[in-house]
Formats: sequence, C-alpha cells, structure tokens
Amino acid sequence: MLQIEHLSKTYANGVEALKDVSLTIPTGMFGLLGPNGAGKSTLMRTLATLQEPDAGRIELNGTDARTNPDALRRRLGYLPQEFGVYPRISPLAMLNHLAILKGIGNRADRTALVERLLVQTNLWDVRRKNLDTFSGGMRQRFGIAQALIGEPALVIVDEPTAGLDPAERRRFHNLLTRIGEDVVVILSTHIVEDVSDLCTRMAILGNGRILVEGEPAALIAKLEGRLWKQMVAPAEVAALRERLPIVSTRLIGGRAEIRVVGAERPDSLDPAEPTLEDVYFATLQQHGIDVALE
Amino acid sequence: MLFEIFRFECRHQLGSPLFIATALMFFAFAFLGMASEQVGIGDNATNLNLNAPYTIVDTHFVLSIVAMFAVVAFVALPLTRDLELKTQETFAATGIGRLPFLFGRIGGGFLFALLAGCAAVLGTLVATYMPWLDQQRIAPLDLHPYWFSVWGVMLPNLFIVGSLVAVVAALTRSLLASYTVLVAIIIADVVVGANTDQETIARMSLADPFGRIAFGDVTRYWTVFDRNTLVPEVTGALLLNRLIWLSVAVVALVVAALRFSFAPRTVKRGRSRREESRTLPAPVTPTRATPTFDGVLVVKQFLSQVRIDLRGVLKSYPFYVLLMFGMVNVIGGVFGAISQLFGTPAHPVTRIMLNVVEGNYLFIVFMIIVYYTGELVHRERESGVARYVDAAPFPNGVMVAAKVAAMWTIVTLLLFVVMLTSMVVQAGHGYFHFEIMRYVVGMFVVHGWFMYLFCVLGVCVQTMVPNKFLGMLVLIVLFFTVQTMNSVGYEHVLYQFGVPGIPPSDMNGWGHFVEPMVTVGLYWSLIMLLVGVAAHLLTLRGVNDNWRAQLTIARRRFTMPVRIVTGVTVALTAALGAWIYYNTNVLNRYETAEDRDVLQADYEKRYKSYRSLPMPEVVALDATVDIYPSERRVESRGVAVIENALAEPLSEIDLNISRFLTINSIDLPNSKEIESDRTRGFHRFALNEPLAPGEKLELRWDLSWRNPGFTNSKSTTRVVENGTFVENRDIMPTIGYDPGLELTDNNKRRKHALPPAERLPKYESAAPDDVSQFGVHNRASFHTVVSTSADQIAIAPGYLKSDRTDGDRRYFEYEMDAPIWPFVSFQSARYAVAEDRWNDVALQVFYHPPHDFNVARMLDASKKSLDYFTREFSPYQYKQFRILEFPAYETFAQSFPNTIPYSEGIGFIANLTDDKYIDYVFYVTAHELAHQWWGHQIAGRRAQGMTILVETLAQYSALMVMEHEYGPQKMRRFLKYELDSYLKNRGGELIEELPLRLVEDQPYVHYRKGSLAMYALKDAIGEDAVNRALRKILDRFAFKAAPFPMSGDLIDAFRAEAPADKQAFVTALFDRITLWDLSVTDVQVQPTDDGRYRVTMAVATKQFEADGGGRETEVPLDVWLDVAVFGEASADLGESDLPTPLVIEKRRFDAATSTFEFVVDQKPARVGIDPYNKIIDRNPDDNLKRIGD
Repeated sequence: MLQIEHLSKTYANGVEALKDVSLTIPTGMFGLLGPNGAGKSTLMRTLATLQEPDAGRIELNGTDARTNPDALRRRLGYLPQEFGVYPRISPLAMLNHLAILKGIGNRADRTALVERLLVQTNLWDVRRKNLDTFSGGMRQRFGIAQALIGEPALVIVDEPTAGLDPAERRRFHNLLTRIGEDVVVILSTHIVEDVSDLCTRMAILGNGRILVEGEPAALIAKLEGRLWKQMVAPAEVAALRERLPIVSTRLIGGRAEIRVVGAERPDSLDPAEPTLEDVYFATLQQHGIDVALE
Repeated sequence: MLFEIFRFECRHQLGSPLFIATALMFFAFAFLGMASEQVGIGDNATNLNLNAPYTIVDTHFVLSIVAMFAVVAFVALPLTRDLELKTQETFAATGIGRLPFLFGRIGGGFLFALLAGCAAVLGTLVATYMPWLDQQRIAPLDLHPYWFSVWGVMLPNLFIVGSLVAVVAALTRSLLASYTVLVAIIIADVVVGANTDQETIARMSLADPFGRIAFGDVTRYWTVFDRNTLVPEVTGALLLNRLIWLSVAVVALVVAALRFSFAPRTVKRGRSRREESRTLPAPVTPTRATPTFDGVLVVKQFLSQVRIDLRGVLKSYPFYVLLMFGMVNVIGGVFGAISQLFGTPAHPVTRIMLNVVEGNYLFIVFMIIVYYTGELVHRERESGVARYVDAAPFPNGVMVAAKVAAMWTIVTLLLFVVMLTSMVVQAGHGYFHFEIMRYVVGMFVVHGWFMYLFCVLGVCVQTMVPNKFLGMLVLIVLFFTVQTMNSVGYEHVLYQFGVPGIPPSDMNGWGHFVEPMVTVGLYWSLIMLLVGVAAHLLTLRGVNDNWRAQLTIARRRFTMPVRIVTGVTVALTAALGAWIYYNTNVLNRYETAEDRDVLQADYEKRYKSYRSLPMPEVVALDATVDIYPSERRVESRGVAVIENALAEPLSEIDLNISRFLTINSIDLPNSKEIESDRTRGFHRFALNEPLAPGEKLELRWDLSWRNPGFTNSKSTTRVVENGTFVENRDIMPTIGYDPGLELTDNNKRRKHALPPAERLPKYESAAPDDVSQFGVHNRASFHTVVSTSADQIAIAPGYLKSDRTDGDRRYFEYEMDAPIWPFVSFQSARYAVAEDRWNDVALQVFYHPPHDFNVARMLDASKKSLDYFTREFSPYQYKQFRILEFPAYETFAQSFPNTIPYSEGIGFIANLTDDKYIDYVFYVTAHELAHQWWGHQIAGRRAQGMTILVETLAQYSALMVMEHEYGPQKMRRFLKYELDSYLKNRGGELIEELPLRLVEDQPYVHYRKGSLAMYALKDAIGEDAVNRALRKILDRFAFKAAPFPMSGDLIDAFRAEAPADKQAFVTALFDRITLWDLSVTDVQVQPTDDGRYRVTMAVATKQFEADGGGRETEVPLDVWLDVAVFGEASADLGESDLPTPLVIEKRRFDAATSTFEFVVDQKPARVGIDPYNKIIDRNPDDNLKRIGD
C-alpha cells in the first residue's frame, strides 16, 4: 500500500505543481488521469524518488520514502514518459546492467530474468542489436522490460502505451494486469480508455490537486441520469456554449455531439449513458479547468 | 546543385557537437600553447617576444598538423557517412550529379576544418592578452602573422592533407583507412623531420607536406629582430614546397573525381554476426529473481557501471584518434630527444623515454581526461538513461566511484600503451635494456599520480555542475587559476594542486625527490577524497529545480559513515598539511622564484660597492669535506691561507658564504665581523691591523650544508644520494663580492631597477696587473680529505694519497703537487672505474655501471689527445687524468685540474654504433682534456677576448685530434655543423656580435666561430706554424703570474708565423667579423682526345664585413681557397662526406669572379670551391655543383 500525505511542490518559477496531494493507493492498478500540466509527471517523479517535494510524506508499506529513498527504490519499477538509452549497446547488455543495479546479483537468476523479460517484451530476436537503432515501439518495450526487473512492490508507468501498436498495447495491458494482482501499479495516462479497461481505482489530477478519487464504476455511476447529449452542426457549438455548460464535444460522422451535465434535462437534449471520459471532463469543468474542446 | 549539397553539408556540420567540440579544443590547445609555460608548441626562445610573428607562424605550422585529425572528421566522415547510414542509394536516386555530390561534401568539410583551424588562430591571439604573461615580451598587436597563419599555413595544409584523405575516403568509404593514411602521412613527416639537419634541409624541406621544414629553412638565419618583426614571404623552399604539395593535392582530387561513384563498394563484413544458436528460451516460467542488497551487490553494481562506462569510451573513435596522435607525438619526440651534439643520437635510455612521454604525451592524457570526464559523468543525463537509472537502488557513491574508476582504467590504459610504445621505440633503436620497474614507477606513479587525481577532480566537478561544457570550463579555469597563482608568487604546494615531479637521472634514480612527491601526493589525494565526498553529497539524482532542495538532500546524505569518513580525512589532511608545512617552512625556508630574485637583486644593491675593494687571495687550501649522501649533508672544515698579493695594505676582508650553509664557525684572526648577512651570504670583516703586502692570514671555517626534510620548490640537485657534485663556492667561503651571484636576465634586472648586466672590461682598458679570467692572480696549493659512505667513491682534484674505510665511512686523501687555480670540485657516487695508462699518466673513468657504452672511447680519446698535446704543445702537468660521471640534472662537462666532471646527459649514453655520426664523445673528451693546457696552464687576462685563449684553443686542439683520428675528409661534416650553428646563433645575438679578438661571453663566437677560424688559419698557414705559435704562447705564459695573456698576444703569435700574403686573412678571421659568399656558377666538361676530361668551372667569390648589429658591407677580396674536382662517390660514404678529390688546389682569390680549367683522368661528377667549408660562408650549400645540373 502506498500512502501519500499532503504532498506539495512549488517550482522556482512560481508554478505550484502539487498542492497538498493525499492519496492512499492499495494493491492493484491505479489510474491517474489529468490534462497536460496537471502535475502528473511531477507526482510520478516524486513518487519515483527523482524529485524532492517541498512538503508531505510518501510511505510504501510503512517505509518513509523521503528519508529513506533507497528503500523505496529497491521496490520500485519505473517507466518514465520519456527516456533514452546509451549509444551502441544492446538490450541484452543494458538489461543485464540494470538488473545488477536493481539488486539481482546472482548471475544465473539474472540471465534467466533478462531472457524472460526479453521474451515477454518481444525483444528476443533483436537482443543483440543496438538499442539506439530501435524504433519508438521497440524502445518502449525495452522501457517496460526494465521497469519489471526485480519484483517491484510499486510500479509506476507514465504514458506507457505511447508508440505501441494495438497488438503490443494489448499484450502490455495483459502484462500489467497480471502484475497488478499483488503490487501497486500506478498508471499515469491521458487515455481514459486505458484506465477504464485496467484500473480498479483511479484519481483525476488537475492544477496540482486531486480532484476526484475512487473506483471508476462508482464515479461513472454518480453521473447516471445527469448526463445529456445532442447532435448539432459543428458551427453551432460556439453559440450553444453561450447557453449550456457543455463538458465535451466530439465529432461523429462530421456532426458534433455535445454533452452536458445537469440535474435537470436541458431542452431538446437527450439522456446519455455516462462513460469514464464524461467523468473526466465533467470533473475538470466542475473545477474550472479549461480543456480545449475544439 | 553543387551549392545545395554544400549548403546541406554546412547545415549538418554547423550545429554538430563534433564541430563545436573540435573548435573548442583547438582554441584551448592553441591558447595553452601560447599562454602557458608548461605547454610549448612553437619555437619560443626567451629572447623572442611571446607574440613574435615567427613564433606565431611556427606555432600554427604545428597546430595545422594537429588540425589534420579534424580534417578527417570533417572531410572523410561525410564521405563515409552515407555508407553507414545507407543513404547513398537515396542520393543516387535523386539524380544528384556524382561530382557535385563529391565536391559539395568535400567543400563543406574543408570549410569547417578551416573554421576549426581558425579557432586555433583565435586561441593564440586571445592568449597574448593574458595578464600573467611578461608584458615586456608582448609586442603591440600585429595582425599580419595571424592572417598569414590562416591563408599561408592552415589553408594550404588543410587543403593538401584534406585532399589526400578525401581521395582515400571517397574510394574506400572507410573512416579507418582515412585515419590510417593520415597517421602514415604524419609518421612519414616525423621521419622526414628526424632526418633533417643542416645538410639535408634543402631536400627534406620539399618532402614535408606540412611545410614546417621549408619554413625552418627559409627562416634559418633570421636574427632576433627578424623573428620579432617579419612574416615570411612565400619564396624559395617554401614556395617550391607549397607548389609541389598543392599539385599533389589537386592530382588527388582529380583522381577522386575520376574514380568516385555512388555504386556501393562491395562491402566485405569482416566478421559475420555471431548468431545465437539458442532460439527462444523455454516458455515463460516465472522464475523468481529476488533482489538482495548487500555489500557484494554494491561491488557488482560498481563493476557493472565501470564496464558500461569503459565500453562507452572504448567504442568512441575520438579516443583512438587522440591515442594515435599521442603515440605519433612520442615516436616523433624521441628523435628530437635523442639527437644530441652534432646530431649524434643517444641511446634511448628509460630516463629519456620518460621525459619524452612527459613532454609529448601527458597533455594528450590531460585533454582526454578533461573531455571524457565530461562525457562520462553527463552520459546518463544526456542520453536520457538517468530518467530511469536514477531511480535504481544503488548508493550515490557507486556512480561517482565508477566514473572515477573508468577514468583511471582509461588513464592506466593510455599510460600502458605509451609504455609499450616506448619499449618498441627503444628496441627499434637497438636498445634492449628494458627497465620495467623504472617504467612502471615512472609512468604510473611519477607521471600518473597527478593524472589519476585530476580524474577525480574532473569527475567530481562534472558531477556537481549541470552541464558538461560548464564543467570543462570550470576545470580549465581551475587550471589557469593554479597557473596564474604560480606566476604571481603563490607557489606553495599546500594550495598548488599537483604532485611534485622528479627530475630525471639514471645515476640518482628517483632519489630524495620521492619524499616530497609521496607526501604532497598523499595530501592532495586526501583532498580529492574530500572532493569525492562533496560530489557524493551533491550528486544530482533525478531532477534538480533548486539548490535549496539539493541542500536538503545533501544533508540527508551526510550520514554517520560519511561524517566519519569526512572527519577522518579532514584530520589526516590537516596532519599531513602540517607535516608538509613543517618541512617547507620550518625545516626549510619557503621562498618563491620572486623571493630568490629579490635576494639576488638585494645582494647586488647592497654589496656591489665592495666590489672595488682590494681583497687578498687564497694561496693554500686545505679542506676536510665529509659527504653524507643518504642524508644529503656535507660537512666542510678547513683552512685557507690568504695573502695580500697587492701593493697596498688591506683593512677589510669580505667573504661570501652560501646562504644554504649553516655557519658553525668562521675564524679570521685579528678581525671583527662588521656585517653579517646570512640571508644573502655576505660577511664583512674589519682587520684590527691592516694586512701588509705579502702578509698572510689563515682563514678557518666550519660549515654544514644540511638538507633536512624537503622544500617547497625543487630542492638542490648538487647534494644527492648517488652523484653528489659540489664546488668550493657551495661549501667554503670565497673571498670578495661575487658578481656571479647577480641577476643575469636583463628583463629581471629592469624589473628590480638594476642597470643592464655588466659586460667584460674593454680590451683597451686592460692593465698588466689585472686578474686572470678566474678573477684571481694566484694559484693555490691544495690538499683535501674527502669522506663519504663506504659504498661510494669520493673524488676531488689532486693525487690520491690514501684511501681507507672506517666503519661505514670511506676516507680519501688528495693532494696536488703544484699550485692550481683555487676552484675545485668534490664528487661522490657509487662508481665503476675503468683504468688505463698513457706513458706514466694514469687514466680513469668513473662511471655509473650501466653507462659503459663509451667508456673505452673516452680512454682512447684521452690517450690520443695526450699524445697530440704533449707532442705539439707542452708536457702534461699531472700524473693522472680522470673523467667522472655526474647526474643529468645538468648537462655539461667541465675541466678541473686533472679531473673532469662529465654529465650522464652527454657522451656516456651517446650511440656511436653508426659511424656516419660525429663521434662527439671523442671530441668532448679531447676538448676538456685540452683545457688542462688552455685554462690550467695559461688563462687569459680578464678582459674582452679572454675566452679565445681557453675555449677557442680547446676547440682547435680537439679538432686536430679529431682530424688525426678520422682524417681530413670527415672534418667537413663537423665544420658544417659549426658553421651552421655560428650563422644561426649570431641571429640570436641580443647586444652586439664581436670579432674573436674582442669576444665577450659569446659561446657562438668563441666555440663555433673559433673552430672555423682556427681551422681556416691552420689550413692557410699550416698545422706546424699554428702549433709553433701556441708553443711560444705557452713558453711565455704557462704557470706564470700576471701579466696574463690577452687575445692580442695569441693573434700576434699567429701573425708572426703567417707569410705576408696571409696577413690580411688573419685580420679577417680574428680582428673582423668577416663572411664570405662562395659559389660555383657554371661547370662544363669536355672529353679530351686522349680519353681524359677537361673541366671548366666558373666561380663567384665575395667577401663581406659585418658590424655588431649584422649589417654587412662588401669589402675587397683576399683569400686562399680550395678548388677541387670530385669523381662519383662510392655508396659507403656518409651523407656529407666527399670522396677523395680527383684534383684539389689552393688558389688565391682577389676578384669577384674567376674561371678555372682542370684536366682529370677519371670521369668527374662534382666540382667545388672551398668544398670542405673551411671558410665562414654565409651560404655554404652552393659551394659544390654537380656536373650536368
């Protein structure tokens, strides 16, 4: 169990990236949603011991990560949103090195582990090629492989499926789900679908605050009977916005579907079946966070 | 199209890190070369301005060679890049022309190589503004030499070599092949350079693709004034060289244009990828790999990181380029280092190899450290690996320590490679005495220690800064700060980051220099450990947004173990620092270079007024000298009988007592010490009753020279563990003000408000009762007992009277049977002794046992010299003659009575196996032995011209012994060296050149010109006549009191022997600065009817007189010269040896042109006027003409 209490971070340029963030994340997949600039990456980095918060506590299974970052690192698998590789080195050599850094000192164990990871991430055939010649997807798979080394108790993955083709993505989801059975997995993403597919719990982060937290189904349920939709011509959207609190617009077959949240049904709108995406947009709107709709 | 490709290339290069790094490195390198005294690139003799045009241009010739490595990167890389990136099909498919593609790429490459070269030019320019430089030696900015360096040096050299590299790159598409060609060119150039001397320079200057030799040829006889003001014109050898090599470059480009094609070369992959036979491993069974964290793991983490980092460096090609460059530099440097007097090589002993590595290689290691610490430390961050690796569970120290260890491995590898290279070079020179331990210690401790510490500093600095270029800048700024502090008088090892070096000597080994090296080295190692702790605390892990957070983390990392390590290290550093301070400032006096100058200046300012005081002289010297080599201590006791040799009574006696001596007692009867300046070593005594003429006094002394602990700057090399060499002025009182202690450098004198250094008294002002050149009138009797440790032999002038060992001390008693000039030496070392006899004279060579190469040669030369000198001059005054080796801390030989200290740096290690070289061991031995006559039998009166009675006559004597040993044919090579040296050095004259009669302390006149003038005189009036004149001089003056002879006495003696028609020639040689210009202008050969050959030759002959400033005026000619015809030389003759002439005649010349006719029996090949270079010919290379040229 990961416990985050009153975490705050203000950058030198005055940006408040995290404002008193408190979360309790149990074993299982935890989705973290939020628009760009919400503080997701700051939170991820802070949890991964790569950034010092101004205040707050982080505890993994009872160990304080701020005073004892190495204890957390020993249980951590981390896949950052962007990362690089050394030039002229193969995934085999690199994973081997990382395995040592992550505590797999026994050579036989390490070899078996690295081979397993290479197979799991479908990199076996290219294990001796240079990493710096890899395509984006291959590189992402390498990133996933390294995050899984060493039986982590906490896995943090930041936008993990970017650049993966649908088959790879599915494969990765399966992998994550299997891991999530007995460890804490934090999945930071802005693909709402990933969260609804995978996560047992989730939170939405905006302007450095936790806006909402809970099980996805429960959050969706809260919108039942409060969500309305209408198909309009795209040109009308701007005018409608003057009148209605539109939470989202999306194009379907050249027409725009607008969605509105409200206890009362607005005139001429139809009831709509809420999804997690509606939860996301509604939450942001509720907190006055402007998300570009067009 | 061409332009498009060119533009593409430019865009590609402009922002490339390679270009930026190269330009920065060139800038730094050039800057260092100009602004630092440690790194010298071009020729920067001390009498030149630091920014003399000659120095600037010469520096850029060297830099242009360095820049070649960039040429490959900029010219060859683009051409091979396509193959690597497999884009050539794309280019081929886009319909770009073959030639626009080729020349667009090459053109872009050239441009950027030139820009990088210009960064070097800028570096030298900026460097001249650095405040620590001697501003007196900086002339106002003149842009011409810089401009010449760009268009006349960088541009053609980059074009020439760039074209050669480009053709290889275009045809092979292999970067390795391009580099190989470049290295081959440079090695060839080094070999050409090594085989260049004054005889071969004309030919070699054409063979050098970089043109530096041609530049040297063009500027060979430039005076200081020329070098300070002139930029060379592209004429003569330089023009020819440039034309030849530019043509070669154009041909190379044409070949490239003709043969280049897009079609990919059939690429042979040397090794096919080793395919893993194992296919997919068994289905995924989740075998558990549970992390365990313990001490063993930390070691594994460290080793794995080291492996990864090493791999990063060892797979990068700049590393190999730098390594190759360093090795080439060492191989080339050896040629220069072993080339000694007259170009004769020395055996490449380990000492020399270590020296070459220090001068030619360590700066490469230094640059590699600066560059690769930046690369390695910022590797994770720059590549993005840090984004996940930073979150891995390894202690901070692992990363810092791994980077340091990787750098140490690299440095060790670099030193190991150069060590092997050195041994290969030694073997290549036929030297197989490999001193492995000396190499290992020399490379990895003496040279390596500081490099290893610098790695730590580099890694730590880079760890603490956010950007590698900032880190490099910090390192370079640190380097210059240390430099600047040193030059402004902050010299203490406690704050001057470094490990004290060890001056090289085979005899004394590392000697007592080990202690300061180890102590100061440890001190700085501890400080580096603290820097390492700081790096550990401040290592950036993850994202750094403000320093406050960083400090919080640092505080958290400052755990108890870290605190303990820090505390202990601080305590040890402080203790060691205190110990160093105790040694440098308590046991010894801490003084800076400036402090020493001030002492010297003060000595002169305070006491020069006593110079004119009449002083008594030593007439008997009896000294007891106890040398304790392992303690580096000398105890000196004794009595000097001093006599008033003047006509007036004396009331004051002044003594110099070296300031390094501890005065136990000084006893001068009937006197009172009225001034005692121990700091400057000057003591004045007032006599209670004046010392009447002829009256004597006994001066007794008891002095100690102790060298406790170690000093801040280099300690004395005179008293050492093996090879002590002290003179009486070091360990005994000397009488009167000593002008030898004054500052001699006029730049420093000016700074300390002293007038220019005093010159010798004018010839005309000399009086009959003036002192001899040794500053005294009288010779003294001499007796000494010298003791040393039991395993050493101690020697002083005189005959060995007794030799006994008492416990661990060995006592030698020496006594002279006749008075000698009161200047004596005391030496002690573990010697091997070679003995021989010549008639009743015992000959001995005391040498360092491994240096036995030429000992037999020295004995042989001694015998032959004694033969000649006793036959031609006068009897040898002693019953013994001995040569004693001393450590290479100084490089000279000096003649004391029957005793000659001879540096291990000359002669003892000369390699005379190839007899094409001048046997200078023979020559130096003969010269020093001749001083037993010229110096010890007669000495000149202290005035202008005095040195010709000593040095010039010793030169002549040695020359004659050489001629009898090797034959007159072999003298040409020797004389050409003397001539070249004379002509070159008169260009370096600072005040005025003087004729031999008036020579002051001008070695190029009394040695070099002296040889030439004496040989020409001998050639003109005959050896017998010259020797007759010398015998007369000896008869008149040998062993006599004042008046001492003057140069005029000698010249008059020559005149007396010369016939009337040679008097003008004697005047020209000795009384004037005369130069001739002789050349063969034309030669024709016709077969005669009887099968012989009629040779008709035309010659031009001119005579000039120069004034002291070098301005020449043509004067009427009157000279006797050889005219000769030579046949074809047989192959076994040396480069500059002429075959026996078919005909040779001596003719008198008094016209500017003349024609001769000879009929010879054999086919003639060459004709010559003065073919043996007996005359001072300002252009000696056109005296011979090949028939048919």
